[in-house]
Amino acid sequence: MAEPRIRVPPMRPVEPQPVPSAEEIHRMLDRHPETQKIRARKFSDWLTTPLEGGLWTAWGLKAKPDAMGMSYMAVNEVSPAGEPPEIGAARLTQTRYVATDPRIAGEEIERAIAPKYGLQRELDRKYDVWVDGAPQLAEEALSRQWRPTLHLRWEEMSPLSPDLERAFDQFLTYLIQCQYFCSDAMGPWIGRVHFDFVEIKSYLAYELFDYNLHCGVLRKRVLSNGGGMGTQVDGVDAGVLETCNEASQGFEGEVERDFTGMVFALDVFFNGLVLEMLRLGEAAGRTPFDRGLFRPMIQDNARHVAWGCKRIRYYLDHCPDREEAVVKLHTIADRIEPAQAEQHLLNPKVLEPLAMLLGDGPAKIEDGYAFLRRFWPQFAERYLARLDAIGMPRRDRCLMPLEAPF
Amino acid sequence: MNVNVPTKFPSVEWFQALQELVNSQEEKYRRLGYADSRALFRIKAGDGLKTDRAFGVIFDVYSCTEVRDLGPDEADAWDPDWVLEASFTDWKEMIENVRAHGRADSDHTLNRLSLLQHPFRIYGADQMRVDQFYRQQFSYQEFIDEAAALDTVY
Repeated sequence: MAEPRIRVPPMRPVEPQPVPSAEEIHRMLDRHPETQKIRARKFSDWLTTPLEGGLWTAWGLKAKPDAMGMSYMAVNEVSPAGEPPEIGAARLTQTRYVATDPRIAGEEIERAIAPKYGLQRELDRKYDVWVDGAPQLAEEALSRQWRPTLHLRWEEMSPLSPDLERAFDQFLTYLIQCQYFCSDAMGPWIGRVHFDFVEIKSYLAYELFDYNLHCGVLRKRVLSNGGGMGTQVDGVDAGVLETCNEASQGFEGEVERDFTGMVFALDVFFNGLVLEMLRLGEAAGRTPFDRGLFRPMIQDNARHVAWGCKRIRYYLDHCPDREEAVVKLHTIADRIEPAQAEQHLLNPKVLEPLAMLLGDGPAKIEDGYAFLRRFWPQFAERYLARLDAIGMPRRDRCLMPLEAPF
Repeated sequence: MNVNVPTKFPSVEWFQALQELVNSQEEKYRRLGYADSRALFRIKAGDGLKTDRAFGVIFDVYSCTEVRDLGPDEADAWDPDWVLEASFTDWKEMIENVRAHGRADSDHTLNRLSLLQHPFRIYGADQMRVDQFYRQQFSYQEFIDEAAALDTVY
């Protein structure tokens, strides 16, 4: 039997507890002090606590809309918890805007009585999740959302020749796979981010929304112009999937997880390639409607790449050991660059339809390949330029071909 | 503003006319989403244009807050997030296309024109700042598309 790729650590043991009978539960709830209080119409401490100096978090706040509107920045301006902490509060299951119970005096006690593991307790270090300008980025993601069902003029879609429709549908089938892959890889991490970094939780939720919106709009296009879904493209996730799996440790066990490694592989590298593919897609579209499909996706995808770059830059600037972190990220890049070049960028199920579309038909596919050859250096160049900007130069060891190998 | 008055390109008045059109349509730009860039638009000499011209434009949230004619020594100091550059001839073709169709047709969008870094080129010193162009490109495309309302002369 083959070795499993990921060694999943044992789960924390759960002691079986005796289950009380329904009658016992009913009696217990009947005698419960809170039940007695409700019957006596005595209010709980949310109403009886003083607005200042008690359990209540804060009172009298009057956030004013800034130039953008009632933004994260506007509420952070007036909130006593406007700035996220370096380490998330141990017991917090609400955002940082809600104070922890002041009767639990001191971080030490708080940590001693808090659950030690699970969900948002995992990524509770600021350097592990935060980016500069996180509130602005979350607002940008929200304000640039679009509604293709309504906003695109589907009635203006025009028929293509069968060859071009088939090529376009194959290219979109590939893009749908990419978007679902990103969604599935990113999704489970959202719950692991501590509530104190709620801007990041929001941003990631919007990114997830984008991926699923893109899948939906692309699928609608494929199924509405006389063609249909193309063939599955194997290998587009090469190297990235393995990196994501190792980073998450299968989301099992009380172990460290490498959010940053996943973000590097998925948002900086993979989404960086997909961004170039979407830009090519606009040129490849044969009708104004088909070209128009790509523009909002380019915008969304560029934001995903920007998030990834900001994340890595913040991590390198604030993590305890920058040198070690850089070595780790280069190791990830060493793995994914050749795998992606071979199985994604040179995948015939991606390149052939793209070349056919860019050349405007099977008879002129060579023109399409010529176009791709001219474009090709941008795949590596932009990625390397981003790594320069992040502070992790890699021009001397990049394993992606700088020129088209065809 | 009177859009029927011929406006010369390239000139600070031409970019200011676009600025005015942007700022008179706040609802439209709110719907597109917030934009935040220091942009530099560069027009290369040739085809009757004697010297390179450069114009700095600041986009801030939903409006265009500044337009400046930058002299030869001022462009670098402008510290742009991104530069959009093309020859005078290619700028003219894009503007004429926008004028003819009411907005850039699908062969003349900024992304399409810059895809091969020719005829237009988008670049900057820091790729993360350049990526702001792609993140917010609807707003910048709309800014250029405002030229449809201008009677541009050269």
